[in-house]
Amino acid sequence: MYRQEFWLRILNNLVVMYGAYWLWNTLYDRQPQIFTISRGQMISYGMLAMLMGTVFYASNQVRYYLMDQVRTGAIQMDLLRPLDLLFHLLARNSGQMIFSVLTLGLPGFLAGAMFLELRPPSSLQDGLLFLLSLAPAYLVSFALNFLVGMIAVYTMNIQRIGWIYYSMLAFFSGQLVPLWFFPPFLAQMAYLLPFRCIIGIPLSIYIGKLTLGETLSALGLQALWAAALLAACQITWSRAHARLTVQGG
Amino acid sequence: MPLIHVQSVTKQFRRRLRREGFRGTFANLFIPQYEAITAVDQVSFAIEAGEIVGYIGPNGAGKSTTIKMLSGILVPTSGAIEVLGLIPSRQRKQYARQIGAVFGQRTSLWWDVPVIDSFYLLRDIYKVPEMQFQRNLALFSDLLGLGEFIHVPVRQLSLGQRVLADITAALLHDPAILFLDEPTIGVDVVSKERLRSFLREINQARQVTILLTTHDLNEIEKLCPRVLIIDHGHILYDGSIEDIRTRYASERLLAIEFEDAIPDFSLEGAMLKRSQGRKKWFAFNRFETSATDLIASINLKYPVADLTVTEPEIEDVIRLIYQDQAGRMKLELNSFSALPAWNARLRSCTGRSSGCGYSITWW
Repeated sequence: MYRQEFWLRILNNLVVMYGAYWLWNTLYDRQPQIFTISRGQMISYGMLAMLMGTVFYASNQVRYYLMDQVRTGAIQMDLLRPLDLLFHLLARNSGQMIFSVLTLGLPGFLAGAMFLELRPPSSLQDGLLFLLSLAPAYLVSFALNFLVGMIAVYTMNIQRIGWIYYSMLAFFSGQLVPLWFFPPFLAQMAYLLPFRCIIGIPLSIYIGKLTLGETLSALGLQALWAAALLAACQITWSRAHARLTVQGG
Repeated sequence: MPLIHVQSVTKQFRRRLRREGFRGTFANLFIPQYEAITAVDQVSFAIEAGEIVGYIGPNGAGKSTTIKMLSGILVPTSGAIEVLGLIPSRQRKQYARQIGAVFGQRTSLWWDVPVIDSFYLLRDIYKVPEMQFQRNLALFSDLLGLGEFIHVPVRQLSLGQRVLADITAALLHDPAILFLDEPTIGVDVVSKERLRSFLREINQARQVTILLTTHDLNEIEKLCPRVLIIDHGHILYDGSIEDIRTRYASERLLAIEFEDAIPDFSLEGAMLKRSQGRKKWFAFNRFETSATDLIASINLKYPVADLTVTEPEIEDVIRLIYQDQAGRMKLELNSFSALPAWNARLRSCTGRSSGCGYSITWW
């Protein structure tokens, strides 16, 4: 990553976080009674949701990589190695994710705390549980991207499907609007889908909206989704393998 | 049990049919239609440990698809493949440690890093012990002359250099089998010779079984005691290069230039094919008639100025096999008229006799 890109991405993060800050602040001024949480909690949630959205953007690399490899036929080189495709990609993407956390997440967090009233977690315990919940959040994000990438084996191009995935994620993860503001039907849907494991659950823990019991069961749910989705990845891949075409000779 | 065992393997691909016109495009959107392409059709063969086998066929014949199935990259639609007692596509991880594969048109090295760094990465992926790694690296870079470019990033290598680096990369973990798909793409004459003796060396010294595809029949002829010919997904031939000659091209051509122009005459055991000026061409079966006898009996009748005996080039014979569609192979092709390339050569043989002879001629 080039130096300018580094600073531009931090600036970009700050702008988006400022947008969230301004939006939730204004809404809180107008109708404080509809919020079941404090202004500080809401603003922190809104800004961190934006930040996490850009940090988790790194896991999109998985589906771009899969699509490129299948489209150009370079996937054959991945399959020639004595490596499991799923764990190979997980290792590859974990590196990209750590890089993203260090170069986007941390600077964004510090900048938000310094300039935009981003509050620390509600308690040390919540802070630690939040960090813990990021691990299954990442695995769910990785697995969903892997599954979307698998579609490329059948269709070669997943650009449009990627867009649908991205808007589903932004909406149902609670990134744009916290899930507890959703009307019952949509809330019901959001609770049945895995997307909230990525942003909604970690941030609810961060701002201290959940009791310890609720937090633990939320962590359990995340772990369950992560395990189920990774298993689905493995099964999907072994089926897709039989249908794989190596393009270009 | 042979090392590589392929039993009636078929690979089909689905290709989307694209209908034309406005209505067709519209229909494609809602009711996609597919056609099944059979790339490899009921192919069976067996290869023993320590063999070098050439796998040849025209473009799109199914060679690469077979190699990809054998290396576990593609899954056969039906049939059974067993190599080293494993099923490549199902036990891929375990299997991949024991084979090496080089695809000439694609690199297995990392594009932006120096060749040597790719080797280090592969050492870690395959968990090659340091001693073995260093020994192999020293040996291969010596034999293949990698020294000049081992510290250069892969993207800056010439095609030929890259292929040599790829071959080294495929052998660092001491595989039992080496699959080579078009390994001589872009390799110059000197390196080609070097590569050939290298492959012979690892085959003999390390008992590495080698299966290679190439369009360079010269290569095959020099390296592979056994060839498989595939076309349209079917195996057409499985045997030695020498047998191809005896089975498909047992005729030789005797070109004689006489001292004077003489009338046509017939000769026992040979057929007059063509006559022009002082030159005449006779075709004869090399198993029934010996060239020496023919020449002697001609010499008795007329004074001979110059003569050449020509065998069909392996290229011509293979071309004939390709041109003859799969399944309609004639076992006996003892007429020169069935060899179009030969007739072309006959026509081009005018003027001085030395202009057409035993020399290697490429079309």
